[in-house]
Amino acid sequence: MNTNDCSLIEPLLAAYLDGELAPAAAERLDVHLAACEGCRTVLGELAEVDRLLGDDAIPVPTGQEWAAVEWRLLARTRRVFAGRLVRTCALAAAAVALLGALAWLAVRVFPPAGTVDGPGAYTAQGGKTPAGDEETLGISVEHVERF
Amino acid sequence: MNSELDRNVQTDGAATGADAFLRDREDERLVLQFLAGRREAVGDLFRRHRDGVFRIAYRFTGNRDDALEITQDVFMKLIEHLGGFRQGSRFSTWLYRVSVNQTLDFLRRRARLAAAPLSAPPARAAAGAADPARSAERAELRERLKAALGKLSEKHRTAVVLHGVEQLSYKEIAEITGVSTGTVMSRLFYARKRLAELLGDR
Repeated sequence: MNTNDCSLIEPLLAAYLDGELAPAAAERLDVHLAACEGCRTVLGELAEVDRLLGDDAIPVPTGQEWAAVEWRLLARTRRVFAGRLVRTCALAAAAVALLGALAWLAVRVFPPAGTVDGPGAYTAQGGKTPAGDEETLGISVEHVERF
Repeated sequence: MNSELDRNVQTDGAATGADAFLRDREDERLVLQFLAGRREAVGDLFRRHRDGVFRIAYRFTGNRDDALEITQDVFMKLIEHLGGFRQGSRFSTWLYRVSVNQTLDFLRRRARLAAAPLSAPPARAAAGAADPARSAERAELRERLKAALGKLSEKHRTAVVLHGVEQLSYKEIAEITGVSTGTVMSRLFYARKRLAELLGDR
């Protein structure tokens, strides 16, 4: 930092005022300010702006107003949570339905070995079990014969 | 220029002390509780941060009722988007960013960014302002400040509001606005210099 160039030093004045300047830079600025009336004037103007901003009190909402806002927030929260629950249930139902469909498809395409032991299927001894409801079992005699 | 300024700014923010750390941890705990399904956590977060959000909105709009409406909108948004809050980042930084954006959106929507502070109805008298002369003086100062702040650019006004109202460090303002600390330093200098000029013109 060139300690004699006011145009380079001025942007640092706000940080100096706010205590945000690195210690080494602040020390160099101290030296410059001691010798430069122009920069001291600018620093005074910045400090005056801060004082005016600090003097302007910001109004505070009443407890009733805050309570009304909080009530509306909690009402919205309940709706958001309810919506999430509905979405979660719908997703769970869809997942169960999908798994069921996949399981049914898997049984149709890749019948488990035990399935042929059902009614109407061939037994290990080469005989045939009594005919059952082929549709509900999912595997027909013809289906087994094809294999 | 700003990288040059960056080198002159302290690297640690003002709000990195033990208190700030504990506040951040408590915020994080409440966010996790909300995400886990505890509705009341929203009320806790609201009570912890409503004043800060309101002050920012008020300083931007200069209007008490608008500021209250914006505060509500900010927390409504929070309910909807808290799931997107990145763990490990500061909740207050995220909330102030939402507050600034929401306030600027509000002002743009009403298309009165420049006119709002001047046309705003007078704020309710602050408690304890019993002296009429003092009260009139405060009212005049308020009007002058509103007019001057209304003439700043959005970027400069944001820096002044975050620093002046919430006493946020340069580092925090940089995180909220997405710029370097050097840029924050520069904006705060030029904004206050402009305010000094505007407030000096009677």
